[in-house]
Amino acid sequence: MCLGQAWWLAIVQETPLVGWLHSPRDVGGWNLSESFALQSQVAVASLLVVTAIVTFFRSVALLLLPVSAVQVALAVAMWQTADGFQIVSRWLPPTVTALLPFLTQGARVAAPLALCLYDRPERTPHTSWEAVARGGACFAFAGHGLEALWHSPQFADLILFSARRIGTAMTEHAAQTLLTGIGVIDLLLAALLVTTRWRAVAIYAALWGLVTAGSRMSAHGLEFGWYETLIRTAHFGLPAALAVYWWHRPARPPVPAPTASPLD
Amino acid sequence: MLPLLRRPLSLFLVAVACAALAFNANADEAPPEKITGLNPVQWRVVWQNDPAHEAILSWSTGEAGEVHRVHLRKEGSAEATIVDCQRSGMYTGTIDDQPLHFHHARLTELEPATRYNVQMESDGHKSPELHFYTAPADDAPVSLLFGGDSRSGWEERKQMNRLMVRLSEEQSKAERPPVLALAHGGDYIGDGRYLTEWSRWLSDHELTVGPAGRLLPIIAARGNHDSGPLFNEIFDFPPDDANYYAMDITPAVRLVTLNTQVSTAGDQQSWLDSELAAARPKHRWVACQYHIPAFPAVKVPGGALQSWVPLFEKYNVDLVCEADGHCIKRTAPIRDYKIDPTGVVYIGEGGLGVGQRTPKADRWYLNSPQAKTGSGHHIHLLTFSRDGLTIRTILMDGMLFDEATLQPRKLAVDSAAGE
Repeated sequence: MCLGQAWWLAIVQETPLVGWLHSPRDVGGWNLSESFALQSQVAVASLLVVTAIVTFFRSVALLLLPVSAVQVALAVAMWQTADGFQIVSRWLPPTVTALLPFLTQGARVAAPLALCLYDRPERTPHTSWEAVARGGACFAFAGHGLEALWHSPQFADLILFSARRIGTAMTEHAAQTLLTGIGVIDLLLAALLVTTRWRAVAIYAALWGLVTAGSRMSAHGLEFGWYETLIRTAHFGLPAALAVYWWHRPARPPVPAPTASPLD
Repeated sequence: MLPLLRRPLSLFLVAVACAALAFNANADEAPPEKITGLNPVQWRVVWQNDPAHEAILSWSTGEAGEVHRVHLRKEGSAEATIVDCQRSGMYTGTIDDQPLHFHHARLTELEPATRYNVQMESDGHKSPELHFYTAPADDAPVSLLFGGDSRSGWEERKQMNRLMVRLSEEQSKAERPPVLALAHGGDYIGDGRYLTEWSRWLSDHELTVGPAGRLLPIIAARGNHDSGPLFNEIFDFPPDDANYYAMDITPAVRLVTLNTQVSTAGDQQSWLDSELAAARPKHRWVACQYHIPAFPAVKVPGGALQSWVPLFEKYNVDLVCEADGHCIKRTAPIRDYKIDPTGVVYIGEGGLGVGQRTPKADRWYLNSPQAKTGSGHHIHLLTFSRDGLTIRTILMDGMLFDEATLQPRKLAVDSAAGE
């Protein structure tokens, strides 16, 4: 995830963050110069690369926490600049629907935190890592599920482009019908991830997260898709970690049988 | 480890909270103009279909009112006809808890290349008498303005609107092909779900009405910041319209407006295929406009690259107008991902107010002597004639930044266009 984002921030450069930093104040931006905004992104990208290398060997809280903060900053930037898919609803005011990035970015915020809590120097995971991972995965699936239910045109195009690459013809209507189903399943997954510890749910979520992350490559080709896929590593990484954890989770110790009272 | 983590975790949470609070205090938001009563304001003419014979005259009022109509008088005629609004309603959302109302009068059976004087009336409250011109029905040379991205930089937006008036007047005075309309490539406002932002844009759009009272028709494309129902309410599209359409600017000029905010690969692609197949043999010039670029100068390509570019090349579209990048670009002609003199030229990318970026001029389609890039608020003046399509890029101070001319393609169109 860090490497994909580092590429996005430093090489591709076009992120909600640079838009937010460079936008004038009349629309809520920071009115910073373009070069400062881009240099800030390079600095953040450097941190991400260092974190990626170090984390390969061991997790360091002082690196992972800022990575998580970067994800929050990206979500705030998306929120502020109305970047990304915008839900339009008759029942929810735009001030509420504008918060969608905080759902969709959930797994990316949670992943570094969860790793921090799990991979501690004393090698004893803090139990809260699981809650963080479940919450993050839940947010990501809920956010993307809502986008699918609202028939995000970008999602429809991901399906249509991917279908064409494998030589399958598909209509827009079929893609939208598929998106409705995907949205419902995603929301169901989001709910199950925080209410149950079913391994099947985590495995399905991991596989689906992998498919959707990989769809950036199948739709747009390697040139534009590879870093988009890497950025979404947490979408399948977190459910995969939960699946493994729930697989090996020690069974609850049996309730000891009542011992006979010495008075008996 | 937990005690060790407590401090950084706390710091992290505090930083997040500070960031969340900071953004709220960040906007320098001056209140928009307050609109009350029944005086018609925020006037605009919208072109959607057949600009030689039809136009939509729209305005806003603070109160709902009952009778909304247009006094329409053809230049030279003493008699005005009354046209009732076909569609009136309340815009979605409010401004400081106050509603705003839209009114659309669809004017039909107009005569081509004719000045129409109009006065909007809501329950007896009348606007000043303004006028607009219909498009010609012959192969006369004409000009269009193309620009995009007026969502921020409100002062610059106003200046660009004044520049449109100046350019239109200069064209007329110099007896050059008249500016017929503004094709807006999208991103009018920051977040299309907020009426406050749209109302500010609509009020600023009044500045495109010059001192002589000429309304500059707008041909609207939807941008990625223009989501929500307000776009359709403002430009009189049906509520669930997908906002892709085409029109004859003249019998020789076809303008196709596409929407990058719905699926590019689905129904829209099929529609574009049939539209271009029908339009290309009949028109000397075929141009397209939409928001997110296929060949961007700053960002990454949108769905247009895969969905529409093959069709542009198949049907030899002459010019494609893009926005979103916040810079100036004119690509070399492109065909099959290579520079090719028979290819398609892409221009844009949005300078009607928004802060300007530095284009990535080293991209293969921009680093050619046949391409041009820059940075600065700007608008494109497109002049379509029998001999060529001239693209002029005009900066906010009125200076010419770039000029290029495309030759008509060797297609069997001239006979169809009346030669």
